[in-house]
Amino acid sequence: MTGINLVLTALFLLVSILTVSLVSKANRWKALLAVSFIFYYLLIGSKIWLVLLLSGITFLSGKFIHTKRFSFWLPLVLLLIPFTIFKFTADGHHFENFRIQSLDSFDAENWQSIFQILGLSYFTFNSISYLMDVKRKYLPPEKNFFFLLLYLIYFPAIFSGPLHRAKYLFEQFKNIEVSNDSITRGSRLILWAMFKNIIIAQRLFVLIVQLQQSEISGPYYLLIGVLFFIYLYCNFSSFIDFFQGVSQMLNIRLKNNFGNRVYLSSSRQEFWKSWHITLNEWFRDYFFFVISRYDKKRKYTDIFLLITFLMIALWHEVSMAILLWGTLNGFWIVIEKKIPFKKWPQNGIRKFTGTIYHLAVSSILAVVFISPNLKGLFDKLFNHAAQLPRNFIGDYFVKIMILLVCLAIMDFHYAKAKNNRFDDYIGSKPKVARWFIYFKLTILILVFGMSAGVENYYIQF
Amino acid sequence: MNRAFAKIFLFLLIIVSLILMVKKSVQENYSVQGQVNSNQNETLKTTSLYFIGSSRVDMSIDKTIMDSAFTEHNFFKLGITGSTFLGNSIIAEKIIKTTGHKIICMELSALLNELPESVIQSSGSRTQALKAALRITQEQSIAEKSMMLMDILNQQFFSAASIKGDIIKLFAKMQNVKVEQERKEFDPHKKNNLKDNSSFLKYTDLSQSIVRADNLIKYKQIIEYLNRLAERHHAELIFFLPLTYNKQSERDIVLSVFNQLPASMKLGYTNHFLQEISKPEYLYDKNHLNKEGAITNSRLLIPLLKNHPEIR
Repeated sequence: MTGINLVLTALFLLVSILTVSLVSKANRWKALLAVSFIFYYLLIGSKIWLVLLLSGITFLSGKFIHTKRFSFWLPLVLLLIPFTIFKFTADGHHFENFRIQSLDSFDAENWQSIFQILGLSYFTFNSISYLMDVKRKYLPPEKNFFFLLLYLIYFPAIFSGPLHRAKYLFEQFKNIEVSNDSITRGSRLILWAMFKNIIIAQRLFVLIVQLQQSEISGPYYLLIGVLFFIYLYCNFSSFIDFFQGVSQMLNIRLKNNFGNRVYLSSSRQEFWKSWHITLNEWFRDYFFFVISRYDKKRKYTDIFLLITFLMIALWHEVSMAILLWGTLNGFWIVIEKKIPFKKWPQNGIRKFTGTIYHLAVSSILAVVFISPNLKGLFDKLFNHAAQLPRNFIGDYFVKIMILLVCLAIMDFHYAKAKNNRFDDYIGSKPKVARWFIYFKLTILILVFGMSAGVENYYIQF
Repeated sequence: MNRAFAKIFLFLLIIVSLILMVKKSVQENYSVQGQVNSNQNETLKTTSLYFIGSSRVDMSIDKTIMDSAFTEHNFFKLGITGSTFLGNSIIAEKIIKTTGHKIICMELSALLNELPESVIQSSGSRTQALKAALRITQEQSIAEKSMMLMDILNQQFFSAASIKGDIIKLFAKMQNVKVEQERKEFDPHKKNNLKDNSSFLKYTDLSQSIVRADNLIKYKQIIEYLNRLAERHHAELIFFLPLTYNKQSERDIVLSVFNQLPASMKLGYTNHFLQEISKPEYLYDKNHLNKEGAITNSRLLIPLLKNHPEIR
């Protein structure tokens, strides 16, 4: 599965709103747990038993860690076993898998496939963060197993996050409410997400695949990298927007995972502050800070940073290309930290050239990221004469124009929104402008939309 | 809460009216006849030989060669882009139920919850296609059937709501330009950019069953259902494998299913056949044959088919 279908989400929303509206405020989280459980079961079937088992381990470990009757390392290892098997036994390359739409409805049920569970990655990270927070005494262990289970399998967040600390969601689970405001805000985010995903991201992906299979080579091949970089932003951020919208309808505000206009970052450091924010925070809080404790004199910070990026790379996939991608990312950050960009004069020019520089280097990393074969990539880049696909303008003009117009619309709204989330930004608009945007986005989706699901490249990780 | 729902309802009402308006303005006075029905109308001979599958089938078989080799049969090629094992099974079920003697060669491809528009048209209507999908998967669990229905409904919902094609037609109508209908059967192409033959099925694959039989229950249930139906309706089912694969997991699974079938229900591939066809110059892309590939494959298939007990 590479995305979530709209009928399923609409059903989840209808059933959730209905059940939540029918019960008292104190019992709303129970209704939400029941609905989340049923929908998660529909997606993963009998593998739900493994999820329940791991949730049980997390719940009991939390209690024992708190009373110091139990070492933290044992549950950590237990939780990481399925996750590690899932990563090490994954079949094929992520780009190829996504291209041919992961065929999980017929995947083999061999012993490894027990661990091929949608959302296992996020489930594991949330379990570990809960246990770490209990160990660090940021949070008392949860007394009610089912309340913890809701945090671990909360339907809108299970597929690709965003990751949340238990404390953040626990508070909100106690205040579930469906109101005019929550429905309106949620709908805005869902509409915006569909515009970004169904039009921009899906069209970009088709274009990337077409270009990849064309004669494009030499420096022109980096065009694929630029497109993939923008694609990944539109694809993943829209998926998050979508489920932020779904969750917002129940008055649960999920964290932002991307900064607006992160694609215009002028340095790698600026980029990582606004890219997959919650995962990076997780690795910072629960990995980097943990290993950094052993370096009291701060002598090896760069090495630890590099290791952290390698771990992030391995989380994506265990392959040479991804390891290289992680290493390059780590080195890039380490090198950039040595250069005081911010002290350079001419802020405007620095920002503009920085954006070009960041986009150029990112496109190189992006082609490494999506190449299953490094030798093939090297050949395409250096052993072939520079050429664009035959009849590039004729074949691609309309597709590129549609994309450029939609990207311009997206960027225009983000520029206006500044750091605000889309629902807050739209809420600040006059009524007429607001409804104009709703109709504009809906008609664009109906005319230029590509498929019936909100896809997410990161769902495979 | 009611105010928000009322606004959304009003908004959707306007949008639905708009969609209907656009669709009505470009509505044409013809209906697409299902391939199966149209094929049936052409039936003149006692036995019909069908090849059902995805675009891989469409691009790997040359109908002219097959027609001239099977003069005593009506030969039909039903290669539908995007068709998966579910779609193939729905078409097979429909063909099995038609009158006359039928030999149905069915591609053993990935089982996905998708029904391309051509499969729906072949079934007669969306409802009939959904009913057929439920019949075929009757032994699956409620969760599995619910997800399948949701996936299919989602796909149907989007194709009904999308006005992409209608807008193109509307513009063409305004400018008095005729929009060409997509051809049902596209010719295998001649282009080839590939250098390796790793995506081809290999003879050694036929002796490997990577997935255990008890893990292939969904395939087994569908095949048993179709087989029972075929026995009652004077039809024979022969399964064949895709010649090329995009994903190793698809290869592992369909090979395991294929290897467990009795010889009478599958095509008997030979080492010579697979060696002759597995050449990169026969590929259009990693997963499809080109014109030369289709001609060679068709010529090589004839003796395999003629040697099969159900056709002999």
